Amino acid sequence: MAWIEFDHVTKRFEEVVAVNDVSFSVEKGEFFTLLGPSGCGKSTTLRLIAGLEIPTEGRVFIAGKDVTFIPPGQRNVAMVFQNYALYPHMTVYQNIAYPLTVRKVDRKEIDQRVKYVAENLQIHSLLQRYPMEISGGQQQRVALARAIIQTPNAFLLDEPLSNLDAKLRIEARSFLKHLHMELGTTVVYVTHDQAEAMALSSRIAVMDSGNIRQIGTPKEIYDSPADTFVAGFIGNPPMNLLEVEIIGYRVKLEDQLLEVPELVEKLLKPVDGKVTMGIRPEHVKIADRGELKGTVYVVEPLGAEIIITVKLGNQFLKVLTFEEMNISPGDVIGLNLNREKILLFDERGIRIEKRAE
Amino acid sequence: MIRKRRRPLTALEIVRYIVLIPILAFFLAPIVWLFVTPFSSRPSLSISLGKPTLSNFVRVFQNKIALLAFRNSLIIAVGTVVLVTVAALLAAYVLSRKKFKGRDILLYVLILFSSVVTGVAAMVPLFMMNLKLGLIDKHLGVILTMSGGLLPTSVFILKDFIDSISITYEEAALVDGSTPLQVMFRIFLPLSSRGVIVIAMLTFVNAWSNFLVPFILLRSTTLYPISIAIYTFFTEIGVPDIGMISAYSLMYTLPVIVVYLIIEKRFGFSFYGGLKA
Ligand SMILES: Nc1ncnc2c1ncn2[C@@H]1O[C@H](COP(=O)(O)OP(=O)(O)O)[C@@H](O)[C@H]1O
Ligand SMILES: [Mg+2]
Repeated sequence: MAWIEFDHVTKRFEEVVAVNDVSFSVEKGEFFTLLGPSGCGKSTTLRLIAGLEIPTEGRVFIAGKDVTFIPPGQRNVAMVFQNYALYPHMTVYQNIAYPLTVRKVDRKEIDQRVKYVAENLQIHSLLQRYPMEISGGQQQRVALARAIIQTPNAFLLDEPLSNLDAKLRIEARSFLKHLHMELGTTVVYVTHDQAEAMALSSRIAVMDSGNIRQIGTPKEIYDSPADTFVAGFIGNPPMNLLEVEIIGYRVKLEDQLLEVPELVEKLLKPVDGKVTMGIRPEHVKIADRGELKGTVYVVEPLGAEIIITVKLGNQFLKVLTFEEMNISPGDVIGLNLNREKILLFDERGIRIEKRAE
Repeated sequence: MIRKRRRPLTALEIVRYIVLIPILAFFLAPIVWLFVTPFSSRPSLSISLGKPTLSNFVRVFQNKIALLAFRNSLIIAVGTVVLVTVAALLAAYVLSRKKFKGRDILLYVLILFSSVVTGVAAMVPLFMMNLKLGLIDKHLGVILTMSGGLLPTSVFILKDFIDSISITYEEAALVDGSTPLQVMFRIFLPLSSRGVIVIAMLTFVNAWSNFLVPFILLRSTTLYPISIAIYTFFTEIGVPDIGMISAYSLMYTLPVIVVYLIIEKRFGFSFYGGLKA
């Protein structure tokens, strides 16, 4: 059995369905991320694991035990809240020690472990301060320390980086990943930031309005999104999604035609008519004699890379390139699409499977 | 160097002062009297110190009823404070943290009742109720009746206060392995102590100074709190002993003043008569 398991869990708040018939399992030692836009039910899912919410339907298992109705304190999980929830009336030391104090651990042992953890997270000089007196980054480390000092079944982290400024966030991200590798403890991580999810996770569950759209490794999710929602959520900029029409072996995009016999032949079911075509910005190349013609709309240089938005009829296509280019808005340019990387989605937005090579 | 010349008062300002000064004097006079007369050797209804003396206080301490009344007031006030604070805290916690059907209506009814229960209009039913329960001439009856009057407002104020404390701390503590009691004593109570202290002090001031409820429910002079004992001094001896009454009044007022000063100092805000139940 998996380490953490959701078995058809539904959570309703009056008429809002926050989590809708969700099933997934997390293996021991995994860094599992719940990713999705705000309000999609990530926090509720995490709180269901912690025991702060009780499912309306379904079962929750942790470490092989049915914990559906077991109170939070007995689930042996450690949670880091989005606002850290450091107890304002306690010093940093007392905060970190708290989980051990309430479990009546011997005072000397508490002292040793607090000092050890604080040393590790480089907050040992702050132990006598109050949470109000330290910076956001330090507060985040204290919250982590309070989780790490326990030896929990899992760490539950609810957007722990979202309150940090951009530079600190990238640093803390690497730090978290390193910490996970060192400790090897299972992590369930919640974020709305796809880059964070990609960078940290062993596996990602993409959520949308209470449902899980796809579970997979970052690579699977990036390369083969299950539907247009996932495709449009992952990547920066995300995948281009264009309304096209399949006519025989050709794709009709606005009023341009593209020969794609290899693609159409590989599809598992015959496709005809209107579909959505997905292609990632880095799989579009600008070429003088490209198959498609478009007008440059915006050019956004980002230092290492350039994002170019091209207008094709009434639709927009983003191109990501690392080459220096002398292009300005209004120019007509040619584009080549990497055929291998083109994905098609049916009218419900579900990706149409391709035959394996 | 430019010096601001003292501007002559305008006619309007002069009129304003002429009106304000008597009003100020009118309101200040009783307070001045309260602080001066107890130390006066020839106490009277006018403000005159004469030779400062402590003899008025000595007479208070020689009066048995006066001393008993102090004890009685303390019992009633502390009893009411404990009952109201504990009950209000528990009720306010649930009203703040749990959503249930009819919660808002309940809160509305609470406000409505707060002004009715100890109002003069309710005195006859309250008397009858205490009579039926055998609580006439007992401190318990006074404590329960006053608590009933003070609870609704206290619950309401505390609920508002608890609303302002994020529930995340309690949740974090639960996940950290605390039992519900540990959450209560280690997290919730320290975080809500300000609100609790304010409620306790408000209740103390109200219970300490209440005249009507003990006056109606108590019979024996030995059970009287100060608010009533003071009143009996007027008639008991035939001629009112103004020196003793004023000394006693000062002793009676001091705890209230001290409580207000503590609140003012610790919390840096003042509150208004509107909070009184
Ligand atoms: N205690 C609650 N009462 C009512 N609705 C809630 C409660 N908690 C969450 N919700 C609703 O459930 C949905 C999912 O919320 P949440 O899990 O916090 O989303 P996320 O963390 O992905 O932003 C939202 O529509 C939210 O309004
Ligand atoms: Mg959330």
